Amino acid sequence: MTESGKKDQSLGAELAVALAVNDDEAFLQRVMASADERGLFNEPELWDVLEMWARPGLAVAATAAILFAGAFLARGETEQPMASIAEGLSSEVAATEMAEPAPPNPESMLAVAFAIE
Amino acid sequence: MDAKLAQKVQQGNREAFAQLVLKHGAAARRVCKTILDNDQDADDAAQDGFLAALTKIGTYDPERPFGPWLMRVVVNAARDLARRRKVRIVEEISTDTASEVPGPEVETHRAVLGEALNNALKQLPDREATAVVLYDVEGYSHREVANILEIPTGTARSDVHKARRKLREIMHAWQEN
Repeated sequence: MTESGKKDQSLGAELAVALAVNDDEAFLQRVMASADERGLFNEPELWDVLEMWARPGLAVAATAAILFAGAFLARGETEQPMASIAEGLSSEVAATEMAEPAPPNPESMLAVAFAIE
Repeated sequence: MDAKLAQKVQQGNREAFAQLVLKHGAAARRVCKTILDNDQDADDAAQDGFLAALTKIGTYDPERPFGPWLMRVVVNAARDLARRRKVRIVEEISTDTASEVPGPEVETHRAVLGEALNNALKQLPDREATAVVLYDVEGYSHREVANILEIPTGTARSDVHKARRKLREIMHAWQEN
């Protein structure tokens, strides 16, 4: 009789034989295939998306902020209405950039922005 | 090692997950086989368990051992499938009363000790069978078995003891016949 606090090596070995499984590789393949099928590895995490967008996003945001400030300061001198900035940003190029799934291209956005001035 | 792999899985690393499946797959399948009636269901449950673990890998604490955490998820997946199977069987019986009652199954003599032992395991309550397999086959401690089965440590210890005694009795009777 084995003490309850110790492993029963003999019983354990016999049970292991009784419960023997085979073809670990096939099992692995079916699990991985099922995980892929459910897209458990494909969907990017929120942080991945934010990271992907971070650099160009920051560049665009900084540019927009500078332009906004510049336009605001220049408004008094030229009486240029703020609406023109919105018009510029809603131009065909800007609209195309915003419709793309990829992050906006800072160069294109800068070109649009400078075209306003 | 497992914790590092799990952390990689948390970051979306597919290869790390594959390594964990390869390492723990056999144990998971053995435990599921203890809870379910056939190999196919056991593999289905083990697969469900791994996918559930992958889905909730963010809740795993790398400071704690990975094996018991995974096995807890796997055992729950096996129990879920066992419940669904039982419901299905009951429904089939209750809605199919017009069919002929199948004749008594012909008992074949089991020459292999493993088969007899497997059969003996099926006669044990689910929790006792799982406890003894986790303890004596998979090498978990009483505390870990308790954690996996979500029962007190004393109950896990008692389940292992009772399961061993019943298995010996069943096997003894089988050998005499």
